[in-house]
Amino acid sequence: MLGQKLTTGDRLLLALAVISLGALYAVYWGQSVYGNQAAIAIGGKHWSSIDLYQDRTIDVEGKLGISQLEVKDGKIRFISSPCDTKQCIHQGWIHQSGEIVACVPNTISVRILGPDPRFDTMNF
Amino acid sequence: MSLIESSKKDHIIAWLAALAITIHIIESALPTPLPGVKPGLANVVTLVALLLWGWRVAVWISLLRVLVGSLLIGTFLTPTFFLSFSGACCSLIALALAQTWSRKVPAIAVGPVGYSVLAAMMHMLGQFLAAYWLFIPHKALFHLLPVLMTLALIFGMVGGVIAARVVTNLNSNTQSLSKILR
Repeated sequence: MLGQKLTTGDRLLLALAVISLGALYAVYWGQSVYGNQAAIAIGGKHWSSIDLYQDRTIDVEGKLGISQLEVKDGKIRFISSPCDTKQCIHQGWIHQSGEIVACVPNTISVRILGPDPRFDTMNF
Repeated sequence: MSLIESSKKDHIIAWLAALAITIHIIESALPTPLPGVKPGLANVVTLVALLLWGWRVAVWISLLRVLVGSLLIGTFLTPTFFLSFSGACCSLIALALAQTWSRKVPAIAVGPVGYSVLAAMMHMLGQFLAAYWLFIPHKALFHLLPVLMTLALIFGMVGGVIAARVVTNLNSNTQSLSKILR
């Protein structure tokens, strides 16, 4: 039924529509929301950017002492910190671009970098 | 004696605009899963007008629908109105280009389904960009665009098939009607 009514122009337009839809999906859904780099800041100042796919532990010296960060499979977390509450450790792994984990007493913050920060209250 | 002479075309516009407005209002009462998504059946009227009487009539019907529809629903000058208005403008511009194309290159002329898909997708794009520029200027909004455009493609195809049916029925079954209205 539909086939008979389609003109060549219709087919061309439909093909164009499908191609542009494919392109739209590729552009806006293709990118992973996972960030692949993290920025570490001490006292609010940028200290270092690290690759999240290079598994290792990093020692960062803050106001109170040394905090240890673990990097594994594109994720990062605090594994030890000289603070009292250990909030930073309890937050666990972060991996999505725009996500932040911080040890406020030790003035260390880690933010996942990505092409498209996730929509949240911090980056709205 | 009337001060303003109304032509036959004015009557067509008034009739079809009234029909489009009615469909528009009924559609606005339907619940939608996503904001900005509507089957767009009111656009079928615009398409039929375009196919039978040309672009100018279609423009009148489309803009009257947006204006009067919003006045009757009570959304005049609200975000909904601006979204609908920008969508209508975008799709009318695209339809003008497509019709010019069809006239210049009759070998690959666009048919009802093509016009309908084009109109639906451009309407969606227009209202999406208006929403982005005017109301929610956040990049994350673009993640919605592929889904919205896919829905527009589907609804556009359905609308096109309906419009094609309406046009053939008007042309064959009711010769007298189409003669009067032409």
